[in-house]
Amino acid sequence: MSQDETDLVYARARRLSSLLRDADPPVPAITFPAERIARATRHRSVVRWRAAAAIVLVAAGAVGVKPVRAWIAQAARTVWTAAAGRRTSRSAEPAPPAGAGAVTFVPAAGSFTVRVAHRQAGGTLTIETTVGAAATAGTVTFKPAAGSFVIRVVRPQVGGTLTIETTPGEAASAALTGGRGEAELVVLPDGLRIVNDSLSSTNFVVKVPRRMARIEVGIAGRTTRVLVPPASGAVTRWVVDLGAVR
Amino acid sequence: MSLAELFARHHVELYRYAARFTGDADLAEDVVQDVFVRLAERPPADEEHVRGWLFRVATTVAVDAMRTSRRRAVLARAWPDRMPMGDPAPDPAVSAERSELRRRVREALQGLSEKERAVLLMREEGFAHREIAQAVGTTTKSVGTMIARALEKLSRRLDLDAEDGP
Repeated sequence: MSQDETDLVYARARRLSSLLRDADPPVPAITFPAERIARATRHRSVVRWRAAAAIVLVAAGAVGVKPVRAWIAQAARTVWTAAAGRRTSRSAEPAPPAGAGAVTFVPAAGSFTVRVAHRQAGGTLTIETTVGAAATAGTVTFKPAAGSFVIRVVRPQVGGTLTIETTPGEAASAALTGGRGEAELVVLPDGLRIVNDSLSSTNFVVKVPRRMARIEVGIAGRTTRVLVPPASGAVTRWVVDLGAVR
Repeated sequence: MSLAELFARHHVELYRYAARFTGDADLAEDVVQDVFVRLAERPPADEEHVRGWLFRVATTVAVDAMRTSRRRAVLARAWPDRMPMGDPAPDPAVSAERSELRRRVREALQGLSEKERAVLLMREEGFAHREIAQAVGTTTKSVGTMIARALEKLSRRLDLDAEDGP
């Protein structure tokens, strides 16, 4: 195309842009089709949920620190033990690290994957077990370190809630309780990381020992809520709307 | 980014695109809502390029909607309240000149093929040739040729080569 022809195309494009702007109708107030979306995704969400539920236990960055290393060993051992009885396949089968059990996994319905990644100097020890039969999601229970309990939600969602409850005893637990979407629960020494999908509306319930001094909720890297369990020890519940977070 | 945030960010430009593409303001509104229902149902794997995905889906939805609309042409004749983009509801603020311009632009755009219209209107929305090529299923190289050809066709109907307007 010659320069003259190129210039002509650009001139016509500019003229067309101007005409289009002049002819555009006013933009009406278009409502977000929330109800249609809810109806359209209700059935499919159950299917995706079953295919994707996963619980992941990973080591935090401070894996070299002895208490953290011990905690990971405990987590790996107990999750491995819980899953081993019903596993259908396995990508690696190292001997589980020694240590007392502090983490238990209670499957619900459908199939799920338990993945324990133990990062250490020189490599990563990974145990991955797919459990079939009747489990969709499940509840992971673990004993967090003392002090603050931190719940990190990777990103806001279309909808769904994060319910936080204080509970008697020493164990914390986390579960996906429905809604649409998929997520991974990553258990860390000081709390929980929820690796979620921004287009999901999954609900989460996290139970935290009431002995914890404070509970921090962070979404998309920002601390969104700081919750302080009452000194009376009364069971308390907070609900964070994951769809309303901006 | 949540679905509601994506809607807030993109629905105006999608409406503008769909209204230009279909020539029907009512249909364009339906197209925008359908696009976001599809986004919820089958979100793209690559969230970074969601804008291109939205326009690609809007094109598909608009084409389907227009074909369905044409099949209902007989019914439309018995439904005079539903007016296309070029014939808006009576509004004293809208001049007869503007109505005439809308009609001419709409008819000129409808004279293009669906692919030509999509290419030209996505360019208006600032997409690169590579993104347009992906959306309409052609090569990047041919997008420039298609734009030039579409403008050539429009220039006859809209007098795009005039110095001071059509």
